[in-house]
Amino acid sequence: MTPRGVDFDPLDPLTRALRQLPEPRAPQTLAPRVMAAVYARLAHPPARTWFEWPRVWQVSSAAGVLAVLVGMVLVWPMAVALLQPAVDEMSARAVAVVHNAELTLSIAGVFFRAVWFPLVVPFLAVVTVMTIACATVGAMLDRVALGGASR
Amino acid sequence: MTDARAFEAFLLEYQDMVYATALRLLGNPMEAEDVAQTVFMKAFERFDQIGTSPSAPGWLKTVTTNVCLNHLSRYRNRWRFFSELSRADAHAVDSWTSGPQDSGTPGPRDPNTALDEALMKLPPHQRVPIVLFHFDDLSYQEIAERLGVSVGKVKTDIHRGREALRAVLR
Repeated sequence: MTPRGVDFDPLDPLTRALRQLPEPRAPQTLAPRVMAAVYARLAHPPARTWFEWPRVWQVSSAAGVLAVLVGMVLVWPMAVALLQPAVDEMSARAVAVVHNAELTLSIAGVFFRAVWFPLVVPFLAVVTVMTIACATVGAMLDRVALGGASR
Repeated sequence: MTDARAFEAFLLEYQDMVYATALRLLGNPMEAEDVAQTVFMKAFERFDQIGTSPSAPGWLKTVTTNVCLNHLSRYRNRWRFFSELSRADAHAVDSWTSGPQDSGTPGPRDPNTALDEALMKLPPHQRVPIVLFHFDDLSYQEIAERLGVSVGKVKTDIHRGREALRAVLR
């Protein structure tokens, strides 16, 4: 057989030799390993996608999904009417909880501002100044009166 | 469910053809066996359609070729890199001229065996177009499209590969 688009002489020794090459034989191990894989596949078939389902299953599943959608559209107003009181009650409770939280936070803020700035800040300032003063006096005493004996 | 026995008969009938195609394209018996298994598992998945079809051999050959080319494309960067090195080609020709280095047994050898070994040892960028050209009867244009390279490169690679093989026949 002459390949298409060939410009090699079919009588060329290399072309003839290539044509006459014997077909390599499959190893003895190929068929057993393929069949082992086949039996494993049969034992645990992979899940098929929707596109690979039988036609009947595809039609049935599509009809089921459609029925669910139609049902939801029809039932939706009824469900809203049924659930509306419960939703209103829950939202009222949530509003109350949020309101209480706001109130608690504002009281905590007032308390914080009332205690922190008038009392805690001056106290911390006094403690800091006194600490520095004590350290300074201690250092002066150590150097002048005790002559650095502590070192 | 697919009849496993029918598939086994199918497998035994075509395993040599699939394995030979894969081995010639890949040049590696282990990889060829892996590819053959992949091809037959694909065949098993659609055995209902191709099991008794007269186009089964063609389908198997096409799928085998595609799987092999996909396999080789994983190494395409390396393949292209080496294909640009003319020194590698020269070395390949030299090595064929001096004969296979691992033959080990002195004396005359079967020309078919020597040629087959030389074909297996060609670099992929030369072996693949030669196999597609001489064994699958694809044209230069078809080979270039399959490999995603220019027709000129296909011609060059086939020419260089043939020169390397011709040295074995001398």
